[in-house]
Amino acid sequence: MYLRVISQNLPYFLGGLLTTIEVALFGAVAGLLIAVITASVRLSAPPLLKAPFIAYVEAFRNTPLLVQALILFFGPTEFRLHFDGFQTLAVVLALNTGAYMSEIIRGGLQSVPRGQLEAAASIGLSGRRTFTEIVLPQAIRAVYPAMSNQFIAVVLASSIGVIIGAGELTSRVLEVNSRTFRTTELLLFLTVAYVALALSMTTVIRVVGRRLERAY
Amino acid sequence: MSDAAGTSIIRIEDATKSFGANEVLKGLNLEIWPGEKVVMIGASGSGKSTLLRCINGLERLSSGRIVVDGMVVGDPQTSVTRLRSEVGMVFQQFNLFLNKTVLDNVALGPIHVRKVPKAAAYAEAMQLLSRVGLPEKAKEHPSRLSGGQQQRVAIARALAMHPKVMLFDEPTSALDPELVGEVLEVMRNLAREGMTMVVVTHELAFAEDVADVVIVLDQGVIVEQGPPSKLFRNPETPRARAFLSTLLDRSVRHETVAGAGSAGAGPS
Amino acid sequence: MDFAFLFPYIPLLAKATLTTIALSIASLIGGGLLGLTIALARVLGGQGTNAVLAVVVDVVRMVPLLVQLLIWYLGLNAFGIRLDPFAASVIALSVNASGFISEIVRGAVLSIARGQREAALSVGLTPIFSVLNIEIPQAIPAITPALIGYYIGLIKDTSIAYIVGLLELTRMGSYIANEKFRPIETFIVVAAIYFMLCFPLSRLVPLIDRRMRQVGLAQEKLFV
Repeated sequence: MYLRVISQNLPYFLGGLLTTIEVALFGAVAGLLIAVITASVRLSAPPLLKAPFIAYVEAFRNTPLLVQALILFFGPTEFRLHFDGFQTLAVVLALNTGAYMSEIIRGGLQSVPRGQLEAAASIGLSGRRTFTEIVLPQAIRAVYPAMSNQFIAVVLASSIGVIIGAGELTSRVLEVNSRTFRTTELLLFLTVAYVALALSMTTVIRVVGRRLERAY
Repeated sequence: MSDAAGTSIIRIEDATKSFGANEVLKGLNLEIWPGEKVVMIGASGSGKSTLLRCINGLERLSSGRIVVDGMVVGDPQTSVTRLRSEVGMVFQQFNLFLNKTVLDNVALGPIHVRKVPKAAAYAEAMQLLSRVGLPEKAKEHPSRLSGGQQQRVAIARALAMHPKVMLFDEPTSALDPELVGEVLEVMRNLAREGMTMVVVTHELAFAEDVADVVIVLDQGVIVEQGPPSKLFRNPETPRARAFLSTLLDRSVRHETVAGAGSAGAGPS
Repeated sequence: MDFAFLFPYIPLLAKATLTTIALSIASLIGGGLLGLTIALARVLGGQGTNAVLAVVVDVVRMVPLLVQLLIWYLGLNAFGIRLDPFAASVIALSVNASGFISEIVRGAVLSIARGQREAALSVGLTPIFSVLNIEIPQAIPAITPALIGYYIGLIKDTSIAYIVGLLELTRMGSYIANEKFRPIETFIVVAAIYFMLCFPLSRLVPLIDRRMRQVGLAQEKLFV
């Protein structure tokens, strides 16, 4: 096994790993923001205001991420605009994840038993306090597993960046492959890299999860 | 009462069972004779359910051994299928197969384990259902039956395997009081027909009626055993006495509240 | 925006859509059979089997689908095994699906009350019989909606076959977009086709979930 191909390109690959983390972080955080706004609108706004948000969620959940990325990557060329691979990947991950996360959040908020709200009202707790002290903590605990799965999913999904040349891990490894054809070694490295990334994330998720549980 | 002319059908020798650090059975010794009705009483955690489950192999002893009708439980040479065909078990939670009809529940064992042809198995299943008073429920699913009805079907299901011994693990504890009677009635009939029975229960009136021997278990050891008439009136050991007084207290209250209590209430 | 230029391409798009559907169904079947086997092995097997398979399932779920596809297509090629794009895609999607489906089945079976297994054992039935004839049937109302939900994801996942050149819907869209220099309209239509495949199914899931829970186990046939 020609491991030199990995060691020689390691800095380049690590740069790709960093890019993966950057783009996934942006996607997750921006997506979360979008999701919170979307979920709130869907839960409390008038039907007319809700409609575009519902359309957004359904559109992004029922079409493949790759197609979304291709629209955002090649689309603007018709308007003489151009976003590079990295920018496109970041934006499409945010929009895509945002749609899924909004459904998770919506479900989590709705899962808090009505009795909690009634009890809070009957002791005179304001709407806002009820939300921050009672509803939000319970909802966070309820959505935690699904949300953490989404975070991992974003990291894995970033691999489609290879198709639009986003410079993340998969792009760089495959680029080296097209030059050196050391497919076995490189794919092995790629697999190990993602497993390591996912395992580290899972560990952090488990630790944070345990701290959440302890609060009860 | 022991049958001096025969051999015991269940022999428990130095049975010890631990769940991790918790020793639930501590070197128990017991012999049960064909046709004997044994009632086991004791506080929760005393090991009575565990002992029952070790007899038919649902739990494995940590040390010691149990011999059922000549078969050593847990021995690789013993056919688990044969053992479980000879030992019938009735659970506190009934555990009827929820996705099968009542008739299928009863016939499943004979068809697949005793390899009885379907027609014969279904015919006998109907007979057994009649015996426990539920022939009209044959095509229903368990979810449509009351607890007492489900438990009676569970008894029929166990009987379908033609067991030599029937084990009952708190058969009426999960039932509403008014449903207890119909199940105890079936068990009484079974006892009258000569079945060897080992029953874990809190129903002392039933024990007094039916049991040949009452065994008091406490923290994994047999504290006292004897015929119900003697044990209930005049327990010798302090632990047995303490336990029986709380139990009698509870059951007296239960009987007064429930009125007819454990008298047969008929199928509901 | 003018979509008229796409009319002559309708037959090609239709064919590509069929490829997408075929790929998704084939992968559902492959992944379903493999996933079921893994779930059964984990439920019935010993601790060793369960541990090994747990690692396999975890790895399959931690590596991006795209990378898995490249492993089957490029990786095997390096060892002399040449798979055509469709075969590689089916295998990659099936193996990936098996990981997720095995967890769906295993979770549902494990949630069936222990008493069902104990009652079966007490009557002399084998653990395998109990799992196949008593536990899995009771797990079906839980498994079905989750499985349909996963299939919807599978339809979208087939777009990944783009990278091995399979002429499924996304690749076809790219081909047309390149020919006509009209990416927006083309990919919007492609997205719309995916939407029409996925959206109805996603509406179906809560309905089926509710229906199965009502009907439950009171009928031998769950589908009337």
